[in-house]
Amino acid sequence: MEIALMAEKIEGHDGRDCDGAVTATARLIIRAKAGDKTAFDQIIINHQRKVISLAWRMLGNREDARDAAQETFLRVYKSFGRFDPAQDFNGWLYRIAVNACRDLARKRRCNHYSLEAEVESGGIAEPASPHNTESAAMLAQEHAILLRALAALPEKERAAIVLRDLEGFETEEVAKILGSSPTTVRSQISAARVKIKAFRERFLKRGKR
Amino acid sequence: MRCTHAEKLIPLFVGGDLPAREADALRRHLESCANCRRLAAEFEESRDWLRGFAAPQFDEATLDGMRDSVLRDIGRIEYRARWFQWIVPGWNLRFVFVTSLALLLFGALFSLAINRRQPPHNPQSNQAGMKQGGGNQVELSPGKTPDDQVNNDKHIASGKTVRRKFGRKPIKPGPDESPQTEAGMIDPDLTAQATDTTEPAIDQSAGLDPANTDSDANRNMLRIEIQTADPNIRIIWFAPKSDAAPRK
Repeated sequence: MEIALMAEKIEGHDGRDCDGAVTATARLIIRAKAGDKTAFDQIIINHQRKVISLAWRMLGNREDARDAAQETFLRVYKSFGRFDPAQDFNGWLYRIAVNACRDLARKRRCNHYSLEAEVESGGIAEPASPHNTESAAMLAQEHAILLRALAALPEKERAAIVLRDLEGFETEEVAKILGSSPTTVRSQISAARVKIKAFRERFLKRGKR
Repeated sequence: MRCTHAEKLIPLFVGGDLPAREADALRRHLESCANCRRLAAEFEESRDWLRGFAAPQFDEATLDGMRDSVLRDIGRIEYRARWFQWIVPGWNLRFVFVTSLALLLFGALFSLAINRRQPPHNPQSNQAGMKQGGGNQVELSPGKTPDDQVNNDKHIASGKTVRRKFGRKPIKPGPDESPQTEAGMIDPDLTAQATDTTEPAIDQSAGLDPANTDSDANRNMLRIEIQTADPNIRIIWFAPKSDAAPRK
């Protein structure tokens, strides 16, 4: 009875999909909370790509992104007992991921990116057309600039802009994930957009010279 | 709307983060202002550029390795938790909190019990001492001689426990006090021993003249003795009891 109620609560909050995927997630969460390792493994499989992508956008480095994703799932496991089924699981997961990224960034003080290191490690996205080497190089360069622009932002502004503009969360959801008010998030997003625009313009001017 | 205000709102407007009313006002301003329109177009371009930022594709091996590490760490945590449960069944934070609270309470009760076991001091000896006047004066039990007083001083010097009264008590001789005790208080040798200073020592003590103990008038008199620098000269002053209170 209790499990059924919990599933209902989770479904009620994640009710964006109507194809039964939410029900499956809710059931997985309940089983994982009860200590089912297979269910937890399935939760990792379902969310690992999203979490590792977010971590990469926050940290700009493959190794750190992998470590942050690992730490995120470990924290999820440890605090599953405290997870309230009335909460949105995705929001809760993203909040843990953002905090794990922040902690890792503070620990390693990796506030600047090395373009060469990123290219060597394959962090820069592969070109759309492997035959057109010139456009591939340009795309790689643009990605590197974007990474550097994000890296230049303060930690909170970076988290806000990544969640709003790259992960596609609403401002209110971003505020919940970051544990601040929507007004604060709006001001952080606004400041981040201004800085990114300025960074891009500076790069374009340098390219023209 | 002024351009300065519009410039502040444009970054939020291009991302759809402005409330409907403000967005409408800005839209109207953009229709009439070319500079702000250009600025909005630049922000839109920058937004599109940012949104085109795709995360790299992580291969399956990386993801599997990450998942395996997580499961391995979880296994380690569970093993440690099992070990703790073996030591303390039902090990959890609540248990730790309750146990430490109980220990603290037990410690407090134990120290309270120890404090209560200490023997209470004898109130009779205090009462006897109260009857003797004077400030920092060694108590004399009724019937003791000045020699005993000197012995008491020796005890103090040798570190033995002797009760002292530190408060100045009102001078009020009781009717049952013997004249010998009062006489002992004014022994010249004893007073000279106690006040070895160049300044005249003042010994203000309540008592009766030993020579006139049976006189009712003397009973109501206060005797004040002043020891001068010369040990052979002592000033004795009798005053009515109503004047016993110190004058300012």
